[in-house]
Amino acid sequence: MADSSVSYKCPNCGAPLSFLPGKKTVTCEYCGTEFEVSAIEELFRGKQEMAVHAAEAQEAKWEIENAGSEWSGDEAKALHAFTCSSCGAELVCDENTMATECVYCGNPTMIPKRFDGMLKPDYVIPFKKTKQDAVNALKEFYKGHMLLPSNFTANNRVEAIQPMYVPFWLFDSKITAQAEFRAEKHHVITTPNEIITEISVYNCRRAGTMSFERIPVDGSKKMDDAYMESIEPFNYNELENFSAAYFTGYLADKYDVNAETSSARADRRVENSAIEVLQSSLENFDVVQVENAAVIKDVGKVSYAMVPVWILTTRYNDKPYTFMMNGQTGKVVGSLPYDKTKAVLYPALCSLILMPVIYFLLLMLD
Amino acid sequence: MLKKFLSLIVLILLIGQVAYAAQISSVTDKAKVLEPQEIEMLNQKIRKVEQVHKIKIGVAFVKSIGGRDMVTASNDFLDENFANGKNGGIVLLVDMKNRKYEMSTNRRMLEIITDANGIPYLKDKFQPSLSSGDYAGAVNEFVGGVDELMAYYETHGVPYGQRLPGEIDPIAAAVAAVTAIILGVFIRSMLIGSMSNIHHAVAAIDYLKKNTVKFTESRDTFLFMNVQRRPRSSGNSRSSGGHGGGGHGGGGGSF
Repeated sequence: MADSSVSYKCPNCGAPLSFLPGKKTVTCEYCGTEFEVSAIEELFRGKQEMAVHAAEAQEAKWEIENAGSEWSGDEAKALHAFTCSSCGAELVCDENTMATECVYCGNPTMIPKRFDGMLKPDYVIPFKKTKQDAVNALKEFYKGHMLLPSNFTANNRVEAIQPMYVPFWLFDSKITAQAEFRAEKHHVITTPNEIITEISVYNCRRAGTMSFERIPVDGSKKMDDAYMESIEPFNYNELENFSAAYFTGYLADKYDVNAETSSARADRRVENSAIEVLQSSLENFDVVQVENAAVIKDVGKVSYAMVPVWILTTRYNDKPYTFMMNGQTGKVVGSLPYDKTKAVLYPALCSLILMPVIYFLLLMLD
Repeated sequence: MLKKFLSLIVLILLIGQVAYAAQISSVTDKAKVLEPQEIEMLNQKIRKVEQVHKIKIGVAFVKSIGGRDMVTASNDFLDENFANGKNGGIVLLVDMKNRKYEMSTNRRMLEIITDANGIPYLKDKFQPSLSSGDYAGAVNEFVGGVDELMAYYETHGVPYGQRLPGEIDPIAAAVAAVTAIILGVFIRSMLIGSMSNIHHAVAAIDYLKKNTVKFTESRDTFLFMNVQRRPRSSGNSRSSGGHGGGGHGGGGGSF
């Protein structure tokens, strides 16, 4: 039976290949041989094509086999089996897995069908931060939070650290924006007896064109939108043309939210910023209010990119906590639990200290 | 020799008499509203209070001060006759024609009998007697009030009406407590908020290509003007000109 997955193995010693964060090449950790990304791509192209065909054949078989089985229709649709090219074990992945690790032999495994043809990403931002960087960054993230429970750092067990390429849509848009503002200019005149404020009210109309480039919106249902928006920004200077070679040793999912659905999130952000840009031309006014605004998208372009994210799952008091780190910049995001006693005690202490200070300030002002 | 000695004694007595004549008595009654015995009794009382507190007290009843201003007249009366007390001086001038009275204190006395609290205290003491025509009683109460205010200052170290050192101002304490609690709640929400850095992105300004921004319309139309007038707070009401200037304090009224 032909393999439906591909393992990138070292052509020199046969050991699994890994793309090491921050490097330009794919390295064999066993014999130390370094390969250019393009060379690896060329080498495994044939194998990938074969794996695609094998997967299609297996898919058809899967559907037949599961007709009337104990799997529900939806489950069967979501789960797909692939054979590991290294040990021959059957890997069951969900419908979006592009790259994973064999649970039996630990070999990095690609599912080429998932980045074939129209599904092939345009760009990839390679991982720059290592697993150790992620662990260190998480420890650093805990620091400076006064309300963190005292035993959190000690009792907080890291359950999993996974490097994952998350599918992102990068939206380019050229827009025309129009807005009407009510603006006020205040002029204060002080006489010996009174303070006179003259408020001149204006109607201000502004219109303009502007372009936004590569607004990132994640195309994954699994990833929390707020987390993905919080790990921004990315340095697009390091954007590389997509090659599956970057996936070796990492997890990767294909998109499951299409560009059209995701575009609403980008459009909303563009609208807010376009109005902000128009409003910035009213700096010489003291008070500005938006009366109405319209943003028309003239040209919209979208590209598909894979973005590196370290996902760190920890457990504290039987409750899971997920942190994510931008695999390129090292920015960590997450929500920490807080100690309820500290949350009452510290502000109360602050109030107690502030009370006499304010009291004496009031007496001095009196 | 004896003659010379006698003439020296006469000279000393004469000088003494002249000096005594130049000194105005504490109570002056040009309006003839007091009996001589009352004047004598009040003078004695004033002398006693003056000696105890090392101050000068003057009281004058006049028919009218003419066209003069009560504040100026009372200040002049003080400066000319009663300003040399070690711990200050205070006078009470009563205009019987216009039925007005005015008290004046010098710079030193102003720190003990304040315009804000001491003068109103004295007014409350003697004004009812003045209104009812008991002028001797009014002077007696005025002097008694001054005695009490001086004693208060000497005992507590602060003028009457002011907080004693260490005494808590209830209004300031309440304001401080409420402000501190509000700040505490604010600090709490800040601290809890700092535990998460997960936020939805609302803007795309980081992805704007700045050199592509081109304004195609920029029009400002003036609509109307609103004018707001606010009286200035009288922050200069506590200037030295509180009672006719010259560092005087005091206050008066009608009876």
